[in-house]
Amino acid sequence: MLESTRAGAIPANPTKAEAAPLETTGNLVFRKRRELLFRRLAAAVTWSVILILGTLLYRIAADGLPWLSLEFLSGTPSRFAHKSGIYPALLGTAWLMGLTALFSIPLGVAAAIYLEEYASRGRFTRIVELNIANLAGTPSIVLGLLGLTVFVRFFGLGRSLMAGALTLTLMILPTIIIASREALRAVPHTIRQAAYAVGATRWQTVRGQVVPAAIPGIMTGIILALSRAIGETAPLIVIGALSYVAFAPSGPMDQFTTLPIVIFNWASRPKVEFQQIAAAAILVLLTAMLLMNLTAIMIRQRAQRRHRQ
Amino acid sequence: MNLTPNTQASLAADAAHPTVVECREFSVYYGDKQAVRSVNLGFPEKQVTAVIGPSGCGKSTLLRSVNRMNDFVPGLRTDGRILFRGENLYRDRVDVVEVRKRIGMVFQKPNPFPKSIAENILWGPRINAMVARGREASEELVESSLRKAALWDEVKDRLDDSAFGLSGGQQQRLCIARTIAMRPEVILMDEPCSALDPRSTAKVEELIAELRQEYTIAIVTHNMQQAARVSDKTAFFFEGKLIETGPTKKLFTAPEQKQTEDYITGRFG
Repeated sequence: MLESTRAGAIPANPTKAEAAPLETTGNLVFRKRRELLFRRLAAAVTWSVILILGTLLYRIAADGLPWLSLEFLSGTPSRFAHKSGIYPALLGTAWLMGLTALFSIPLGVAAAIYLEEYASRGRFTRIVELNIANLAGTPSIVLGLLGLTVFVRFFGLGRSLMAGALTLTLMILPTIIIASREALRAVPHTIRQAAYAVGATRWQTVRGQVVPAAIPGIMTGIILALSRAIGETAPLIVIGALSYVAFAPSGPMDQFTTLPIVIFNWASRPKVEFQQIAAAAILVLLTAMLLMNLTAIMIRQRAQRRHRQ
Repeated sequence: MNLTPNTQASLAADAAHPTVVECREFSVYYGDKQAVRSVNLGFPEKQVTAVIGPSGCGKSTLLRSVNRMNDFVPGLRTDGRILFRGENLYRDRVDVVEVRKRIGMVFQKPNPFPKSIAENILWGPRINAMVARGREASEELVESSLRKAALWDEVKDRLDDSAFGLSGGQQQRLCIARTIAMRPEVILMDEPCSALDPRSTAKVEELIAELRQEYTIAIVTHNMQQAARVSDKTAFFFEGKLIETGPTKKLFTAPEQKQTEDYITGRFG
């Protein structure tokens, strides 16, 4: 009855094969109907998500686009919407993301390498794993309070970019560690064996074969983590990032503001103009995020080209 | 000395092919289970020694013990000695990296590195500082290794392409070339053809016959015809024990043990 079994059925019993109709009959009718139903459902869900996103983007673009200008990008905040700019916030976000990436990527990847390639399975690794999973689920505002106590006060970093970046690092480390571990684990065991068999030490194996093969997966984790960090507001407000900064930061110990904080501030004002420049700032933030992800995706694809077919 | 002609003949053979690797009362345990039971077996120089036996008879475990690949298996314990040119591989302070440089291995499934064909050859020699810096030395090593593995003509125009673009048989020959590039003294092959089609298998077997001129080879195989075709010496294992060993011709035509005969005639296994 089924196309694929037909070939097998013919030599065994030719008369029976002749009797079996080759059209869609019997329970195949229902199976095909169910298949179609599921396909349409999946398509509907996908399209509704795209539609919602599209509407959102359209509304923001409609509000914000007219306000976008070079003066808006290079100006400082003001009491008046039409004089306001986002330069300090844009630079604050850039500094913050740069520092966060600088701290979180080496730490996260190194921790993943240790846990996956070196640490022996035991109580210690189980406890560490549990803690990482818990840290991943901790509300960011709680991490903000931790950052306030530890980085701002205890280490005396003040309300600086440094304190903000370290707090965000805490927040995204679990994502990077977990994704990197998955990526390392997905590297076939046979590759490690091949490396050892040509006289590689453990570190040479990890450095020369395992990590390069895992880079696409690691990059995916980094993209996800940094995308989350760039939009984060709550923990930064807790550690004391200001919403009004007239000067762009010039070093890691400077005070700062970021795009999400400025957006939050403007969007909560009653005046329509401020809501519109908030939309314009959202567009800038989205573009920045897109650029960041694009860079990461390019790195990932270069690695994929080099290491896969 | 007063030797019978027979013993004289075997001594002469020993002088031409001295034992390179020798297991002496060597045992391997996985936890409580004993996988290899007090084996005494020698691998003569520039000869192919085949290790045959049914699945789970410990033949792969033994082979992987020779270049200490079993060190990675948790809960594995060994007893006895494996001598490599007279030196116990399992004594303290033996560096496994040094061991694996001199005793290469080809695995069951082709496992090229996810890199280019040339990189596959060069990676091992490079990390071990065995190839001079500079293009010329590298290119020379790539070419000579691939030629020895009978792969050069097929890949010379795409050395920078990914090794994953090769067929399974070509990948396995690349793995052999990669092993050769390290200029090992012994090559261990763990069922090198079990994932290959008959034509690729034939090519690898030809290659083994070729490599025999230069290297000491130990090959584990499921395929008795293969053992008969490629090897000079055969060892038959059953349930972790070495049942019988001898020149391949003799073992396949006039086995001394009943179990060996049953296995090679296909009565079990």
